[in-house]
Amino acid sequence: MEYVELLRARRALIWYGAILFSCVALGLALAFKDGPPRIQMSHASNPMIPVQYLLAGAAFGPLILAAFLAVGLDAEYKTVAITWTRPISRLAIAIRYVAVDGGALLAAWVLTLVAVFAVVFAIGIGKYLVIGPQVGTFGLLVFGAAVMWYGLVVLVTTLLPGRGNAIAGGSWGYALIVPGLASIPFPPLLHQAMVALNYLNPMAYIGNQGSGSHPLIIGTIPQHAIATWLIGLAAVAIATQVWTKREVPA
Amino acid sequence: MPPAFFSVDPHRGVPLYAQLTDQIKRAIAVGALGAGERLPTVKALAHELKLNANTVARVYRELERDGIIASTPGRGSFVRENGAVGEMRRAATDTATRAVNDAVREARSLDVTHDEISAIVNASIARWYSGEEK
Amino acid sequence: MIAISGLTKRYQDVLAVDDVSLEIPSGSVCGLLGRNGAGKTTAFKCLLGFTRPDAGEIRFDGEPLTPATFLKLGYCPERPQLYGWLTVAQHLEIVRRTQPGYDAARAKELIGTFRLDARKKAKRLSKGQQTALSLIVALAHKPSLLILDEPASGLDPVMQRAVLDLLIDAATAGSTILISSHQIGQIERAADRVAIMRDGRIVLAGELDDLRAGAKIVEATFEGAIPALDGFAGVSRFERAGLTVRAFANGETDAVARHLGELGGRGVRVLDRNLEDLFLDAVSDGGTP
Repeated sequence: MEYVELLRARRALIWYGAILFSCVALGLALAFKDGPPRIQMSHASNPMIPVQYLLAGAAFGPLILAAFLAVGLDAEYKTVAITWTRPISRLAIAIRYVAVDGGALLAAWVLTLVAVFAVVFAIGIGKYLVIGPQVGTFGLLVFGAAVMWYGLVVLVTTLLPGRGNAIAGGSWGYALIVPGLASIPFPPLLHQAMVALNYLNPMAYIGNQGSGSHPLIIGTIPQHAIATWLIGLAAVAIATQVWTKREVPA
Repeated sequence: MPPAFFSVDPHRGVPLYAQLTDQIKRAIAVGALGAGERLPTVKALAHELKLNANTVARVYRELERDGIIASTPGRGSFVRENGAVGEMRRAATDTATRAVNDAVREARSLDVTHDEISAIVNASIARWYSGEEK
Repeated sequence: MIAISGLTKRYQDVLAVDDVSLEIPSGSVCGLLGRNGAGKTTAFKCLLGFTRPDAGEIRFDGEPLTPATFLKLGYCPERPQLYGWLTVAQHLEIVRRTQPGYDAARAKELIGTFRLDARKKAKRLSKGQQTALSLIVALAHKPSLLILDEPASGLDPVMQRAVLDLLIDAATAGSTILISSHQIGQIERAADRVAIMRDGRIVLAGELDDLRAGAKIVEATFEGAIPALDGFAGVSRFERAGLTVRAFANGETDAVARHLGELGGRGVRVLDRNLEDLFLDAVSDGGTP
């Protein structure tokens, strides 16, 4: 049954890969228009590009695909005549779906990373790359953010059947608006609520690791990495359970 | 290909097994199915007539019980040698009895008198059996 | 064999399925008839585990429904539930990957029967072709238990005939088939038993030929006035039109005909009733036999 999700993931990756490739090709073509580009890293005496910036940038891939893939399980409810008439337990069906999606997210990350590194080396700034401390943990965190996004969308779509696309779109609104709400000087109680909402916002976990003048959420990188994975996996676990007990409405 | 033409009409209120039984008896009565002739299998006839096989099986069961056909596992169903002639007669008289009964019942309810109905029946016999020995 | 006993499903304050019991032996085709909203589709949803019944027991070849049941069970839904973006061939690939009993030759044959283009996406198929694909998905693993909800909707007469062939051949091979349809003509041929549903209840059920044999109308016309119609056995009800009376008899009609004659009835005749008559009678208001 995961065959359908395999096809869906393949389709999504092909689209994403094609767009990514065109962007990279277009960017490089512009950069090389007047011969090899000469980039001056002049603002510092000892210029460097931390690899974790690239990891975070490449997380863009799985983050985009997370919401799109997450609606797949809920969408099966329109085809229960096929999905739920397989000689396979519903839990096994749901787990296989989620596993396919996880693989696709990982593939999207790897694909984007390859593209990012290709660009970095093509324009000749590869020599400035430095591997900072906690790069592995940071990698886990940015991918964890995609897992968390995926898990939350799977959970919400499973709880509210048949509204997959609206929920996937809404998740973007949530991710982009909630940080802004937290910076509005609301009355204290409302302000705290707005801040709390950010703990369910995957973007807050990534965006928080910058200069950190005004951190959205408290905690260290390892804590955030653990939090994203825990929230994501717990949401998936609940969603698959709910999905198996779902009833076709009257 | 069945050995004779059968056609049942599921839209009629007459049970399908009764329709088919009548038709097979009639085929035997008019000689379309001779003694010893092999009947199609239940499956084949069900497929041919687009009928449920249970219905056809019921027909064969009843024909066998009445001694009109004999079924041997693995060999199929046949019109019985000795049964055929007798059953031909019985099938023929069955059909006739039913037709005459229906006609007489309706005549009775229309106040056709005893003498009148006798005259009608005799006239009909005279018309169709002219020149034949009794 | 499919055995249902005491099946009940309530939606809020509506009893969609009300104490339905039905037994379909192997090799039998049972036609489930009823008007829209009578509870047929809800009953099917309960059978397939798409919704949990409030009461009742359902058994397939003696066993309750488990994922393994679907190894031998095929289902065709009322409205096609297909993946619009997948091709006909990809739909069959789903079946091939999940059903060990998938028969590629059979699937190919069925695609030919319904003249489908295997490379076409489901959303590009006509309504009838989508129904056909739903049927092929239900039949491709050669199930011995079939649950078909309106499997002929949108099909042209030639394809309806092909569906009829499929059903008859499957039943002849020993399959158990539960089929709902508004096309009584199809049920009349393929089914050997029927159950008629109304407001969630089964109001008439039995072997089709027995129903045909048992239900007759005895008609008679009286002079002047219709007398009191007393002392009739085996008559469910009378209908009057002018001076003509119709007695709806279940079973032996000779006694009814004779009695009507004795009361002075003229033009006594016995009329057969077909399934359509029985159906309309069973689902019309106040006509429950």
